[in-house]
Amino acid sequence: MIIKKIKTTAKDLLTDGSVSLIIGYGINGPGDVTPVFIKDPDDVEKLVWNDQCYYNLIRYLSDRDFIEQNNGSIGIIIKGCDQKSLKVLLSESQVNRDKIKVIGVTCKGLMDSDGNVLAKCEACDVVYPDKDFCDVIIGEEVKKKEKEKDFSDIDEIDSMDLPDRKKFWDNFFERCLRCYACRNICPLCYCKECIMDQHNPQWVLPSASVVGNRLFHIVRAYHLTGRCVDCGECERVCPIGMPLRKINRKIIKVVKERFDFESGKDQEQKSPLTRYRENDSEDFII
Amino acid sequence: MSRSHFDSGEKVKKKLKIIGFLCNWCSYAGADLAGTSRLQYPADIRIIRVPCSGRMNPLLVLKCLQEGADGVLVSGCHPGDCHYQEGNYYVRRRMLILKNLLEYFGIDKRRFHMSWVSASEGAKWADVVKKVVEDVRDACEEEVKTAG
Amino acid sequence: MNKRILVIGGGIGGVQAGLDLAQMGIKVTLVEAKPSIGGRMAQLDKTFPTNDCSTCILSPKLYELASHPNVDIFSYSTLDKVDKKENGFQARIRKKARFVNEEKCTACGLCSEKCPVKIPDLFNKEITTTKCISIPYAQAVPAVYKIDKKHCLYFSKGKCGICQKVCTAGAIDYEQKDTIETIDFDAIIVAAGAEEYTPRIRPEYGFGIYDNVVTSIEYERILSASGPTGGHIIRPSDKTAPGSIAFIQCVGSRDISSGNYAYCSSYCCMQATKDAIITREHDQNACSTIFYIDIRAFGKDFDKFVDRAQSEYNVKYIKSRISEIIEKPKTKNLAIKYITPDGRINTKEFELVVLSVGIRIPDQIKELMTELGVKLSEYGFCPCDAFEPGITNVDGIYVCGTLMGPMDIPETVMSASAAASMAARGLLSPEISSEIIKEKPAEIAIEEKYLKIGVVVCHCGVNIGSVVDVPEVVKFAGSFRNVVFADELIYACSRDSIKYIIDKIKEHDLTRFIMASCSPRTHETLFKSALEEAGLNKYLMQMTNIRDQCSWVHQDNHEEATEKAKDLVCMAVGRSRYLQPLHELDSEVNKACLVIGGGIAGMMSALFIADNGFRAFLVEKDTELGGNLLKINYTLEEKNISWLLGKIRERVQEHPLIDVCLNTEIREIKGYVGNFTTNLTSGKEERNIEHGAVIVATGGREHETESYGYRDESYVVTQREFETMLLNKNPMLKYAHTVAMIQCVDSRESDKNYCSRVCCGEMVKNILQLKNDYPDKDVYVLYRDIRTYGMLEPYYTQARKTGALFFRYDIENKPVIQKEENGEFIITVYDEILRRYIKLRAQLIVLSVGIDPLETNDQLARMLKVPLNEDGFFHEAHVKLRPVDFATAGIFVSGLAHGPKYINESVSQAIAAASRALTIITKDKIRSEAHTAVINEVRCTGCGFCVDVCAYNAIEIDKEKNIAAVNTLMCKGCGSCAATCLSGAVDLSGFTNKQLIQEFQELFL
Repeated sequence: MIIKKIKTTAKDLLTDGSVSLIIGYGINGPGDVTPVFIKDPDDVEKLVWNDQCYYNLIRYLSDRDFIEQNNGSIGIIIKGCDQKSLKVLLSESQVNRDKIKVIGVTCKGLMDSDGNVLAKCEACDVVYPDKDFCDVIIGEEVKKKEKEKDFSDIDEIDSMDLPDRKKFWDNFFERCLRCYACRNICPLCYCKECIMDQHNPQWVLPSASVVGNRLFHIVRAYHLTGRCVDCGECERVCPIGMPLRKINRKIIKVVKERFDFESGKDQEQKSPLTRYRENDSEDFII
Repeated sequence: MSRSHFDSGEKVKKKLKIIGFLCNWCSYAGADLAGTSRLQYPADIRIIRVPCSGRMNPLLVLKCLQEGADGVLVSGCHPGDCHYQEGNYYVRRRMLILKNLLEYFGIDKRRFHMSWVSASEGAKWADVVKKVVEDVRDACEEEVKTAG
Repeated sequence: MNKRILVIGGGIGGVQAGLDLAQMGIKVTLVEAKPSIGGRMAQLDKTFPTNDCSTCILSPKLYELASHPNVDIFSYSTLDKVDKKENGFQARIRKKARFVNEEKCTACGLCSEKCPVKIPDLFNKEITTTKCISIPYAQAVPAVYKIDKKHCLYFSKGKCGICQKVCTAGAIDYEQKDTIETIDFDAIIVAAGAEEYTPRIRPEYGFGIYDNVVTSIEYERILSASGPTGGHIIRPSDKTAPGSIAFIQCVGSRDISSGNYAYCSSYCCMQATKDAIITREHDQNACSTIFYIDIRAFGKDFDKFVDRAQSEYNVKYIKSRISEIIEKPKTKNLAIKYITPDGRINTKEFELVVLSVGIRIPDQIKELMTELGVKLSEYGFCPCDAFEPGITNVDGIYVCGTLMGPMDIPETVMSASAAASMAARGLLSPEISSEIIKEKPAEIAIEEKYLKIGVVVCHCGVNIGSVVDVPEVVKFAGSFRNVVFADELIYACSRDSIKYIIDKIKEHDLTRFIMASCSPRTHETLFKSALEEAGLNKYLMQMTNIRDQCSWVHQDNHEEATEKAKDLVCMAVGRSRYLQPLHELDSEVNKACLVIGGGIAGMMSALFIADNGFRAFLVEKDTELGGNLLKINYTLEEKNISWLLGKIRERVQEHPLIDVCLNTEIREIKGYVGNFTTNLTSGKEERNIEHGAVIVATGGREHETESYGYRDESYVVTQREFETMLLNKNPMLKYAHTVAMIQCVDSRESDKNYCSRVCCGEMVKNILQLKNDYPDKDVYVLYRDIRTYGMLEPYYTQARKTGALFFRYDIENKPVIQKEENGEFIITVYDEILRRYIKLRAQLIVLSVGIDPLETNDQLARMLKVPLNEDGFFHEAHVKLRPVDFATAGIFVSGLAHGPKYINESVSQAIAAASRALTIITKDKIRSEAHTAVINEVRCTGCGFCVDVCAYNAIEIDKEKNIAAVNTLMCKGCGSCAATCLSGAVDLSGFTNKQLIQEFQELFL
């Protein structure tokens, strides 16, 4: 049983003092899986593991205030997809690998409330976390899913006429509240002062207008270039149901096709925006 | 903000305001050469000199469009010619992403251009401006049509 | 310090020598016969093997030289007389009358536009015409017009005078006379260059007879975007685009039929390759064929360039010497008869023929050299000893560039830098700083002052004023918030105007100043100095270009041009609101240089640092100095290398300013330009040294081969071993009646795809020695291309005359060796002409194995944070114009560490590296750029993106704080970091986000 192993591992790590905190999944009420923070070995019973462990717990590792408050070593439970976020953070020197214990758990895909596998899990290729990356691995080894990247959802939008595409997105930009949930949930949005909030100079209109919102979403997407690992958290938390993954995946597609780059593969890899090839495509240049 | 093309319902102006960000060493020199050679081109472009095309953050282009520029052009040294070794290689990647995003959100790609113009390409500079002005004008007109 | 050196010649060699000397603090007088400097390089379209735009890379150097306070340029000037004096020379310089006042001419070009007389355009090789009053090319330095007196109507007929009438600057002076200045010099550097061979003396090629036969330099002009055809490749006869182009190599090179041109001109193979590639880039259907004897792609990355030409640009190479070109009368196409690879004779028609002409020394330069007493070789070049490249038989006179022999741009630049530190000996001292300290009024603090902007709009005579409504622009400028002064001037750059501007800044207590006039590229320095004079920080000035980029390009639309000029002024006003005073940062310089590697390159670098009075640390990992040279006995020119090496070692070891550290490894190098600390370990001893510059001269090594049975057979040796055998009269030679030499062993193929440059010369050297000692022995040479470039070619001719037989082989068909029972070798090789395999019998096989980079390069490169190329050699900052520099300031490279080369080339580069290092360590303080990256620590997350994109290693992450930190002295101000940062934490002073945003935002308010 996976959950049993998670609990014993957590208990062991806390007991032998190798970590002072475990971040994992607990339950808040029926059907409400939520992050839990365990400091007492006796509390490991609060941990759960099921197909509703949506939350990307890596978010906590890039939260400066959280890390400051929990100064000791942290044990963290991750799914295969979360591991990619962590690798990106490591490549950007945002996490001290020595101070975390990574407990990788096999994940066969999350389900929505209707019992369907999430779309992002359909697209996922790291069911089984990397052995040489995690400190502990729980769950049986599953063969890596080898499949062609499917970007048909993006192609669909790309194939629209320009005005239709504009309409499609403007429909969401008209409703976007600028609540910044998408930004706040993103494990890779760790700036001390977000560029969207800066006044001097003010890059992006702060008001929730179509113009301002469009700019906000372009900048958000641009800032995820070569970084977003499609964990889908932004889309999950968006109160107006904006298909944010369709934006992120556009970038993922371009980066893959043009720069032959996939984020979150390796903690040593450098952002494609800080690398170049002399023969990079330049068909857009006059 | 009413002049921004991010809003719909814009009227096509007779004269456009296109902002060109030119690197000091190649493209700005190329534009100067067009002058010394008295090559004539449309007066719709306003040039801002930057040390290197690599100085160009996509946010500057976005800000420029948001503030009301009809179009933006970024121009630098040809690949391999960069006075600062490799700035133009990096900006090529950044602008490729920007171009894709603009298009994806339904912004006409003809609003934003990038070119390589060397210090000896006065004639190319004049041609680039002609093309950019034509493209931006077409984009503006088309937008009015679809909005109208 | 009143040291002054005369540099003769304003081509790239003279420019580099002048710049290096000026930066060492020596006054330079540069004399150029032509009306502008730039030389041959200004006429080139692109440069190989990177296809960089020639003008783009050259122009900044020309401007830098012209604006250097230590440099006086005498263009359109000649030397009347040079007298040897005690400790130097006295020269009479004749500045020829241009009939245009240099001080007054603004290079607006109106005179030329209105001039009614057309004359052949010499800069464009007479392909087109120019006016009787003209400037050679748009970016010419100095930008001053000149009247051709011979053709001028005013001078010949006494009428016209149009130029004088239209020149509102009053610069035309028909009465101008030649002026003569007599100046004393401490030394002379002759960088007079060479000229191209005139193929008119070879009528069989039809040059000057057939329309569509052009020379390579004419073709460069045709390719150039700013050339006579506007960059369109069209052939002269009918102005159509040629679909097929033939390049004929070795016209006036390797050729004694029309004169003494037995040498190879060295660069033509690559020039033709480059031109063929560029041709294809212009026209996807154009096919180029290069007829060659040997493809001499001996430089760094040249072979890869040739490979690309064939695989990606469809360039055909045919090995055949062409004896005749025949024009087809109707089409004006040209028929070329050649020998096909399989030995048949074929004829093909081409629409255009380019003759790759070689170089020669012009007669007037030979005369000048004779007058100076400098001896020239039979070919007219100034030959130098391998260990003293640039030193002539006359004390105090040095040479560089193509005057020494045919060479490409980087070799010219190296030899020029080398000449600088040779000529500087005795003129420098650590006690005297070479930085320039300009007296200027104290700077007024503006922080507490109100924002007061002043705007001046220039008419530039009629250049702006006739198109743009200047008073209207002035009125508009005056309407802006904070603009307290706006005025117009006829010529803002005139002396009176500058004074007026200074007065107005003071009178109105201005804190920002806007100049709406011409290009900041040419005039920013002038107006900045006006601000300094007025006590304002010079970075509080904003220029906007309403001439080159407005009035000149919208001549027919006054209304739109005026609107645009108003917009440009508006933008400048916007930007100026956020301008801040900037100050360059000064940093102390440690006046010593670390030289890594004790081979010939390292020793020469150290010697020239020390001979100029500065301390050098020479670090060698082995127990003795000498490196690869310890294993070389003689060269083609020098018969006793070990004796010469011994002399140099002695000088190095006994020099009081050289600290020789043998048996020493480098543990760590910390710091930056002017201020390095290096940890040296020798056995158990450890010490730190401090120095201001670093020269990497770690060398290379002979390639170790396993091919052709080298490992197992004692009668298979390398050229170097063979050389020693010859010297020692090794008994093995008795047995060997026939010696077979195989070239390019393991070289120029898959994982070692470069040419080692020296092997062909080594082979020739050993053949000549062998044939000298044992005239009866037979020699076979199996080669791919013979690359005895430059002055080595006559030796190759000599080697062929000894009876040595040469067989060409192809990479697909390498020779195969079999050993017979009697110990003899049978070599099977495919003969292209006979079209079958032939067998050669030999008793001794000599392999040319080439040069490998050191494996330890990688480690040192990481320590210094400098790059290696894909072959593993150190990668210089720029292949053409910065061949000894790294992009990172204060670090230089020389010798085999940089790439394979001959001894004299290593020495030249080593002395050049010393020169480049001296430009830094002669200063008390070095100064940073004014525009540099700035980190906002509150915003910085320490992600390291800025570090990754910085080409100059100027940013590091402070590990403690996890925040980026900029080393201002290393930052060049490109702004890549600012553009890459996602957090808005990096900005570029002088081009800040706020300034750039305000520049366009002001327009849309």
